[in-house]
Amino acid sequence: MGRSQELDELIAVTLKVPQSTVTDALSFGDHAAWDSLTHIKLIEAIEQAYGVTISDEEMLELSNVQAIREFVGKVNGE
Amino acid sequence: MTAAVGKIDFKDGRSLRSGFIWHAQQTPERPALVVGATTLTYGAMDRTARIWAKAIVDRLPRRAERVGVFAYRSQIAYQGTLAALYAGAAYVPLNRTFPVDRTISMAQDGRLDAIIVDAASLPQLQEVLSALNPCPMILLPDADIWDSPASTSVVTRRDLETTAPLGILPPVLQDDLAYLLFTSGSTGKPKGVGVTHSNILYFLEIMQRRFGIVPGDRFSQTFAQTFDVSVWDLFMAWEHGASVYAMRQIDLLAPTKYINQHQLTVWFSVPSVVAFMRRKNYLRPQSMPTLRYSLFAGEPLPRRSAELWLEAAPNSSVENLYGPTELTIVCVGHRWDPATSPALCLHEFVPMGQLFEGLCGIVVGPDGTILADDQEGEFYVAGPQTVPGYWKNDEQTADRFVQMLMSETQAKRFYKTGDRVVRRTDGTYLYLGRVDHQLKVRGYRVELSEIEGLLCRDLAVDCAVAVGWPFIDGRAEGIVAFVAGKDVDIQRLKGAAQKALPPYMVPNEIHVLEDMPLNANGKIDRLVLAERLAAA
Repeated sequence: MGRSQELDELIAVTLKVPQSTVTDALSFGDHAAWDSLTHIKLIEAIEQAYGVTISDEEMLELSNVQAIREFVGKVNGE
Repeated sequence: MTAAVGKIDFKDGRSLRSGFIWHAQQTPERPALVVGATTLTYGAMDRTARIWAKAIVDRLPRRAERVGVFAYRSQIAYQGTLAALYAGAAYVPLNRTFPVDRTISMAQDGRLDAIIVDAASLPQLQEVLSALNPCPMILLPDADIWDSPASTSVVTRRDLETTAPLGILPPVLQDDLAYLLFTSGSTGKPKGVGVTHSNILYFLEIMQRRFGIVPGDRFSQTFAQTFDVSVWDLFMAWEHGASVYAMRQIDLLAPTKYINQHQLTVWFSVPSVVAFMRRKNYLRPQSMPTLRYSLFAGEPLPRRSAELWLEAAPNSSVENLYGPTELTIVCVGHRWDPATSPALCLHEFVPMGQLFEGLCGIVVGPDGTILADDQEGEFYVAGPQTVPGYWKNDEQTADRFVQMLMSETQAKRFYKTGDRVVRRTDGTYLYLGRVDHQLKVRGYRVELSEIEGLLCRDLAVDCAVAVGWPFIDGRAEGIVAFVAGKDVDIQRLKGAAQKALPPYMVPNEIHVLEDMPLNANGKIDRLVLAERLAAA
């Protein structure tokens, strides 16, 4: 749970939205805050926090919180 | 420069919709548009456009002059554009990603007869309508019911299901407006630019001579429809029976996958798409082999972006296109040639290129005289792509559209672009910057693009903007630069600037940004940068 908490916080801080709104369903474009620029920021923040390189195809897949949680889960070997 | 070629015959009653209608009759089964997982054929879109046009024509007591399309990257956005033209009207794109006040201002100025609205824009509709008097009729092709606030006519999906297609379309004259777009005015209030069928048909004809589009071509659609380059995406394709691929915003961050999946042949975007890809190392050699044209417009194209894109799309011709909305999309272009283009680059940017045939370009000095080649001045363009003027704004029209005497007997009507250029003796135009980006710093004339070009030479820098700062009594005391990039070494940049530039051009401060602020059209928003300095 600790890890997921950390990820939620990272998403909330990068998108500048309250952490309570970070649910599986939150997606790119839903929110004025999650546009192209913030998506790049978010991808770079995840790369830095988890020490991974995200490919262009992966970046396109990671367009909602559910996909990001699953991706980070895999990175963490869950 | 004479305008000897390019006379286009309008006797056959052609207009912006003609190409689509012709292909719908000839090859109704061919794909016209792909949005998400849906493919719409020419035949299907033609039928829908006729139904929507019928719904509009039947309910209005007069001919529809202007129809708003309040829809964004949806089927309705594209279908609505066609339907407006089929109804004999100019289309006026509205954008739900803009602030509602801006949309209201555009809808008020546009004096719309009808608005076609998609489901995602519906939540803003009530607020927009409450500011409009009289209230235009409303078409809601993907809603079954809607509580109309005003006593206006509302057409829902159910009504459209029982509407027959319009057989004979209202006629359109060549001087009628094809579309009305709003550009950001320096006063902060958007200015309407009405483009006629004659303007756009000339443009499409010249473009076809340059590109030779065929029905098998597959076009990217990257631009918001409120940005006039989107007109190329749709109508250059439809004029020649090709298909349009509407991309999602997110796909623009890494378009390689989409381009390959759909085997796109024509790419057109702002250069900042390339800047993103460079920053993330997403531009891989040979990765986009299906492209035969790679077009960029909207802001200056850095030389390295052109080079890297060409490596990634080696079968394509990479072209830098230039033009303001007032000159109908683009009017100057340069085809990148790795052998000869680098020598033509100024400040590490790809040249604007050669003026399209049939247009007349002059470079004008501060005193209003026409300058010889190799002299720097403001770029004026006359000819069939110069629009009639600003919409319902005689004052601004008189300010920017001027008659110039070309000989004792001949005057031409020019649009003053506000861009500073120089024309080489071979006819190549080079971009120097906006007239208002040329500054005097402590009495010296400074070209901001020269500083930006120098900073961009640093491999870590993706993008650089220089602004005059601080201003004292309206005069710049120095230069501040903003750069975006990864692992930027400010000391190294300052050192490079000191080595190459006179002291008054060396930025006093260089700020590293995670990303450049962009305006609604994806161009760098200098105003926001200036505001940040003012607020600091």
